[in-house]
Amino acid sequence: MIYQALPLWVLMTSLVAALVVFVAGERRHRLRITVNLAAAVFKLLLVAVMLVGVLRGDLFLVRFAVLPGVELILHADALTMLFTTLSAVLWLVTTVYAISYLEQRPNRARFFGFFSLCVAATMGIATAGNLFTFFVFYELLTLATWPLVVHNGWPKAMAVGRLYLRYTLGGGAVLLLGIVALNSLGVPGDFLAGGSLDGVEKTHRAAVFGIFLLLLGGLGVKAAVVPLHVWLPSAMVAPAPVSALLHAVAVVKAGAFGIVRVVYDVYGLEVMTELQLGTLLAAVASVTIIYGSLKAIAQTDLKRRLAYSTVSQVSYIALGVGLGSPLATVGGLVHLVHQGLMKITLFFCAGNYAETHGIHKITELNGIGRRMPWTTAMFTLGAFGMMGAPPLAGFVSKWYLGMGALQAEALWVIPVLLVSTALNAIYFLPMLYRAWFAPPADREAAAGLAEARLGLLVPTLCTGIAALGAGVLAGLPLSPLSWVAFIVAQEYGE
Amino acid sequence: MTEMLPVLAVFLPLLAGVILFLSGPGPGGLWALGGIVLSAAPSLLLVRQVAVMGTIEHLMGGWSVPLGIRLMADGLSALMILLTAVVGVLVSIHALGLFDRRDAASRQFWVLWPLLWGALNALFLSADLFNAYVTLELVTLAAIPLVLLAGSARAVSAALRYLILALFGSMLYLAGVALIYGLTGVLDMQLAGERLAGGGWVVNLAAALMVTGLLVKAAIVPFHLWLPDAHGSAPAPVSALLSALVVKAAVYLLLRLWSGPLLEPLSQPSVAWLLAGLGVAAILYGSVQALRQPRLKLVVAYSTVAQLGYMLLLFPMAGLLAWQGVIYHGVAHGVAKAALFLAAGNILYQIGHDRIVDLRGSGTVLAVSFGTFAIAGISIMGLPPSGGFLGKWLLLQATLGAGAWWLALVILAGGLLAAGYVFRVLRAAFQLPDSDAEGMEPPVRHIGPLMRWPALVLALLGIALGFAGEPLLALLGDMPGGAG
Amino acid sequence: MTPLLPLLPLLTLLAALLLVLPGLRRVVFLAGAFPAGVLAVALALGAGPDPVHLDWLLLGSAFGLDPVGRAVLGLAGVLWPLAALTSLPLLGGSHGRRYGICFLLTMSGNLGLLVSQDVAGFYCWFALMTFAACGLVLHDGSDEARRAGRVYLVLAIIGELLLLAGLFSVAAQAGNPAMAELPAVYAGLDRPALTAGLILAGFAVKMGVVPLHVWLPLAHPAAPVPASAVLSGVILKAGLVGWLRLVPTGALHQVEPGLVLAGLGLAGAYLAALAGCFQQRPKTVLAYSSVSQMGLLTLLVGLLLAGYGPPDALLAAIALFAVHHGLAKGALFLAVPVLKAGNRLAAGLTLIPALSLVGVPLTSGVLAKAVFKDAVPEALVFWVTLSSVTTGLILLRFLVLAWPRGPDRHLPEPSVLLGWSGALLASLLVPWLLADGRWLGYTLQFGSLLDGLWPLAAALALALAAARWTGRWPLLPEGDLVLPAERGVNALRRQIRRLLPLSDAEREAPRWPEERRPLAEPGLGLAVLLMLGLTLILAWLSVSG
Repeated sequence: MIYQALPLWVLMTSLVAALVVFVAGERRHRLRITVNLAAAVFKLLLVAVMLVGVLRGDLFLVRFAVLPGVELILHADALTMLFTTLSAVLWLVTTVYAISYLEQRPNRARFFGFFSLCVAATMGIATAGNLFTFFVFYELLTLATWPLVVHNGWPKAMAVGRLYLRYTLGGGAVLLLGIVALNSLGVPGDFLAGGSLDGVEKTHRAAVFGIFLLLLGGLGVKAAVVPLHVWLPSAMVAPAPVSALLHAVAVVKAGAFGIVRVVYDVYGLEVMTELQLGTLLAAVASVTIIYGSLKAIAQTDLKRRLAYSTVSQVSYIALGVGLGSPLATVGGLVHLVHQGLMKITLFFCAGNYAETHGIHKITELNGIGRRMPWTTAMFTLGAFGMMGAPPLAGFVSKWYLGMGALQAEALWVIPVLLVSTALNAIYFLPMLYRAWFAPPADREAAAGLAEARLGLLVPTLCTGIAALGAGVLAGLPLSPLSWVAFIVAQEYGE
Repeated sequence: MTEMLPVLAVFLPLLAGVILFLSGPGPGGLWALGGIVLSAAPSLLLVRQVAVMGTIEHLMGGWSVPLGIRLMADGLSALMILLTAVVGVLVSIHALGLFDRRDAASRQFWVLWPLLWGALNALFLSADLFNAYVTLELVTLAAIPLVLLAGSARAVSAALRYLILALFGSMLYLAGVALIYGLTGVLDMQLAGERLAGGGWVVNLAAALMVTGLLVKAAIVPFHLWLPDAHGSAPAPVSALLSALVVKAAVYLLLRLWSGPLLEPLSQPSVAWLLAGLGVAAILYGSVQALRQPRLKLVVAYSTVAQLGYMLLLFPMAGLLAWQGVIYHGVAHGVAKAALFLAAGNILYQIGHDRIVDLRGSGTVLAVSFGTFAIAGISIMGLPPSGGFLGKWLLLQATLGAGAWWLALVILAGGLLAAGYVFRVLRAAFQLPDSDAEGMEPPVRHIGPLMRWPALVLALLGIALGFAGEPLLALLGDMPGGAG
Repeated sequence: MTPLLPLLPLLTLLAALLLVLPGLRRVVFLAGAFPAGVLAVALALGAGPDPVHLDWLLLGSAFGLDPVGRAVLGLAGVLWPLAALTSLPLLGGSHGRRYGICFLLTMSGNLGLLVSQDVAGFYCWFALMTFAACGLVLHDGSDEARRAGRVYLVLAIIGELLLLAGLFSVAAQAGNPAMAELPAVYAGLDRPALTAGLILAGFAVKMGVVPLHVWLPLAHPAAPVPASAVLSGVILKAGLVGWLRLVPTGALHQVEPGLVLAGLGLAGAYLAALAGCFQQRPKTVLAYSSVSQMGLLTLLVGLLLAGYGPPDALLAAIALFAVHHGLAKGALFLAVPVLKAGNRLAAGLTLIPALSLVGVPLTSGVLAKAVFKDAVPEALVFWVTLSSVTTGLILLRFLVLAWPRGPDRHLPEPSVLLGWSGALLASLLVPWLLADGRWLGYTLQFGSLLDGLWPLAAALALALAAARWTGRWPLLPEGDLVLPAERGVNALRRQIRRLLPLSDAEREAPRWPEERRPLAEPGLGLAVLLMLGLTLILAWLSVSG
């Protein structure tokens, strides 16, 4: 019983950590750090146990009826584990980073409390077993991230916080409408491999189509699908670890993960194809990919550029899912992990630049490679990964997406992928050029090594190397790619 | 003993009031505590009994209807009594912390509040139109002096306005009751309902009079004028009681009438939609007003105006889901709103004002109060996991099931507007103080655990309600009478 | 020997990583280059034919050698260490570590692709080489280097994209196939010609096939000398190996792509040589010469693909010609600093590789030309021979520009000298070791001697005549076609900026109050319209369908 309820314990770990941090208050630094790290490590262990369990085919399920006919379901399938493992690992890394980043700043208890809460919500999203449960944690995530976004308390941050709420709560309302509408058609919205519509699409064709638009609209806000992405680039006013978490694990991924769930486990591939919904999703994703990249080129602020890059990259997931062929699915799902690793690295680097030398603008990157070689090396890895250069993680995703597009006979996707790669190069390579080759503006001041603090650098190195490893060692049995292949084999019943 | 429970639920709070009145100026904490226990115990026992056995009836003095007076505790009553008990206990504890026991206000509170409690329980147990009138009147009469406890000029004028409008409402209601008595010769709800079948314009007129009277008492737009001032200027525990319970009492009676004697006139589509229209207006108007208020307690008060609107959405949908949704929403709102008022009161107590713009930067010192406010706010916004969310979920299911998608949109819009005013307050907690205002930090009064915990517990209960749908709806049971 | 194949690129990669550590820069650098070089030569001579499979690496990797790969690997094994030796003075410079890392990474990528036998792996090493080499081009940080780097990158990325598009279709068929499975994969493709065309075009950038050659004349003069040497010597050959590995020849001909390639190759051989004659910097001239020589190689590959001529002979010619050109061109580039130092003896020795390229008797060039002519169809033999004239012209131009003037100065640093002499020696000897015995006799026959000499004579005559009768020597801008292309791109960019208001300058404009700014996003309206349109169309399709 205790074993079977592992998803709940995983969730509780962060929740309890959040509570302890809140209660302990601002001054108990050591306790807070201990609790944070202990919870992160403990959760990683639990997730590891669960991972082995899922691989063995054990059942993990917790049900709790909140209303007649409406249940909270936490479960763990292979897809859950993909997201859970990513979050658990990156949470640990980000915690270390955040502890160092926020040293000597006020309101740390508040920050770490909501930070843990945010992870708890993410875990809930990962383990949710039906749309209702998913929605509960989806909204909780909004509530938990808002305090992080406005953490600095500057007028600008407050304005962005308002924008963030407008988008996410609005999206939440739309999503809720979609879920309830689906319920009113008699579909409970359980996540079952192959879909759980039970033939409703035959009798209510237009409604099912419309509901998908609602769900996509609601999830698309967090997944930053154009034109619902506006909050994301603005949200970079948040402290660097928050941006990293937002872009790599929590918010954006929650949206993307939701799309994955809806497509595979609620609608099912057959319905997606029959109603042209897959094409719709892929088309929307493609527009987002291109638009995000174009906007990224136009940015002058480092974090804003990275944010638009996220807009573009996250839609790779939706693209792969929308195409619907097994290989495309592999590409899309594996990008869930890969994009996380690469983008968190990039944001850590941006944080390191800002923390160590106050660098925010891209023009200020000139010559930083000599002063911060390690950070810049990791930035380079992340950037090349985003461009899909082998052997980095991004390449593996793109490789499978390309294959998948051809497998799905969607030839038009190939140009999209290629153009996106080119656009990625257009906005990443100049930054690398500046960092490594351009002379610094002030040669005198910019001489000598001046790396980021160890607490900032080590997490950056970890994620950067992980992004490399996920590509180089993609053939290993427990690499993200292999795991995704395992999921896809299950989804397609092969 | 079991049959006596309904009577005890009414009698013991009144007894507690008497004891507290007699126990000299300023009862000690122990006396008050005893009073609370005395008042709450029969309520809780009664609820347990209903949960086990279903509806309980008690004929006063053994006289059967139509001659005697019938007390009835069905699921709805039990739920309201439970709400009253839970909110009552926690608010009482908060009051213990807030009121200086040597103060005159303290003594008055401890007399009036048990009276109010008893009256509320009596109302929830009444199965008789006139009895309901009497108890409703008692509720009002206990509530108005409570508002006056604040002692400010603003409170006095607010209480006066409340008094006049409440009397007006009572008058209308009484007129309606008189008409029905004239038509049927009985006052028992069930019997009257049976005899009213078939309708006619007199019935419609009676229904109109009674419903209007109740709408005034429930402060539904456009009869809300008295509420914000009264709730906004009363002391925090009083505001909490008024918003969580007293207005709910009027709505409760409305639901009773709808599910009983007045089912037929109120179920006409035009009437149902008119009521729902008022509900929509209340949701939108109340929320927008809440967004514009400069003071924290006024925001919370207008929020009540808005939240009561949801309960009127029941009428056009008239299904089990809507019934459950409306009542669950009411319960959740009661708990969360009490928490919200207590938290607002704590903030007011701590820094001496509740002007939202000047709250900026006080997030750190007022962390607990703001935290309480935020947690209670989740339920008010209808976001998961909270009781408010479950209520909203049920209502949405009901609206979409009935094909009234535009009502669904209103519900969602109401939620978003609520988020607007809740976060407007929370923003202040996160915002940095103005740089020029720094250094002149206002002195912060300390609040003890007696004030801190009840608010927090209420707020957390609002969250817990998000997981308690199953047992509570089981307690509520099916729709009473022939409705649905 | 064979199991050591994967180690080859890793060795260098490891050294590149170790170079990050402070201290011992030169030792680590040489330790990265030399053992790998030795290993490369050893493997080229001794590795077995069966590939090694490492399933855990990347998408399942395979390492092995094919005939041309073997030859080029040998060439790389010789040239990279020599270039590394020549690089030693650069390592002490202001950006020495950066240079060292880029150099070793490029080397690692180059060696890796030469031994890679699976599609994804090959692409991976290829990309590593391409991007790392950009660091070499950019090395000195001047405006010129920047421009060269930009053009290089743009073309490299275009190449990568074309390549990727082609590889996708291969991969969609078979995942990540080993090279040996490719013929079967192609047989299953719907449009093999398209796939082949994309892949050919992708590597054509690296090979400098006209008109994709424009980066070469910019990159070579901008890069440091050793970098230019390996660029021309072995990096270009990566494109060649890519062609031969990823587009199957033999029974499965790609006639149209092959003919196009052959035509472009021949045209390039002439045009580039002529363009090179109107340059004024020695390294630019050499770059054009490389383009020209690669044109000849392209011709061979094109013929092979189209199925003209005996495949074995063509492959042998390709291998020999590649090695010959690589070594000779490497020696010429490495000679540049020596010539600059003004040593006339050295200048005299530089004549040897130059003459070798022209195909003068007794040099390795004549051997290469002989094998070459044997492989191509009769009709082309004359044209190939004639190309020696243009080669002669361009190398004369190089000598004129690079010949030391003024008094003798002292020799350059010993390491530079050592690198140069090594390359010289290798270019003299190595091709002879590779060639089939029967060709050795042929090269000494009278007829072939004459055959080798007349183009040189003709070139000399032409050059003298031109010098005599031309007043001012006309000049062509470096990178010829790149100028109109750059202008075109800039105009396009302006148009895009005008049409798509994406820039955030708008957002920062003062009419938006600070608080509101995050709400405004230029270009959003466009996106909204697009999305709405898409959704409506698909909704209509879906619900009506």
